[in-house]
Amino acid sequence: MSHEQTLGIIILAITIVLIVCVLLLLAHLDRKLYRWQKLGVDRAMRPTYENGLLHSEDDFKEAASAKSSALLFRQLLIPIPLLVLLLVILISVSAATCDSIGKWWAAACFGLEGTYAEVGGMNLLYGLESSPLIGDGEGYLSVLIPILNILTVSDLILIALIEQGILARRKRISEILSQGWRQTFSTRTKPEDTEPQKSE
Amino acid sequence: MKTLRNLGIDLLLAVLSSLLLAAGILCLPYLIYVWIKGIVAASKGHFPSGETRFDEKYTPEVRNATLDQEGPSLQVYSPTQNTTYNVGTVDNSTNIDSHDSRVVNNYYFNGQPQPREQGPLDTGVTFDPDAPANVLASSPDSLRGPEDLRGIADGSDIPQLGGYGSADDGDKEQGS
Repeated sequence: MSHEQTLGIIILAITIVLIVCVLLLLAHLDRKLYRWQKLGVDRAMRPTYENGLLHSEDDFKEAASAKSSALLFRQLLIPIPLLVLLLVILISVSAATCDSIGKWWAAACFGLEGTYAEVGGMNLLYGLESSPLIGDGEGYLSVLIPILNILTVSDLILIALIEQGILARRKRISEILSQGWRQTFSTRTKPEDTEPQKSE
Repeated sequence: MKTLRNLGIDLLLAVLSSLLLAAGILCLPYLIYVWIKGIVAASKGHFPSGETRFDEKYTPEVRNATLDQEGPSLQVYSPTQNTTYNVGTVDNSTNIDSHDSRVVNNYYFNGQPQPREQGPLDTGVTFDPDAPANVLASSPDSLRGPEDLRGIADGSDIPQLGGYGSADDGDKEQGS
């Protein structure tokens, strides 16, 4: 195996390990967020429980579901219209300025194009250069389209997390009902204590 | 071992994250539906705040009891439950905290005469002896036996309903 091949494989391995580490970190943070979203039911329902007007499981379920739905709406209040607005702008700008998918993709990649070198039979990224598809005076596209793309994807991710929140709350409601809602709220004092510490 | 397990779950989640994102996008129509429904409600002046009828501040409400139209029974309206309950015999001057008035009826319930041969009816709700004063906190499944309701049925101990005391007690506690 030549020196170049060895170097290529090492770089590839390091890249893969880094990507996996980043994904693991994101997944770990997402699990923490999921747990926090689940305990939102406890936080919202404790004052209602202490108000003393809940009398049955049906009452608890009704109140918890209503609070969860209202929270979902409040969380979606900005992201949904923002998503529609961003999509409209993105499609309009792309249609007006890019006459081909290739040009749009080049602009989305900040007007840069990869140069590749063959190392041990593998085409590895060697460097970056300006894309010939982005003409003179069109440099603004290399900023505008990536910004619109990043904002749209960020908004989509936010919406996916909000959706995860409603699933988490539904799961917590059924957990509380199966454990006994009176016991859950009468024996614990703080919301973070209401769920036993366990790994999911 | 636990760390390894957690690491495994994280890895699985990381691999599945793209699928989760795709599932999220597939559920967008539902979220848009929720958003539109909320906006329509807000435009009608009902912004979804998450407040429910169970969040209404507890305010003991004292009102004069009125005799039911038939039989030795009494109807008391409970605003939080939006229901009229019958309680035992009292006279027109008896004050009852309507939040606390979910008791029994003797032979007359929901405005309907009941067959007497079956004995006094219970309406399925009684007081939780462990609940704080003036808090209505029991459900049909915690109904006590008829022996607990005997005094109520004949109206002799209305002021001590479920141990909550008279309407005057309710006023004191509200003020404190």
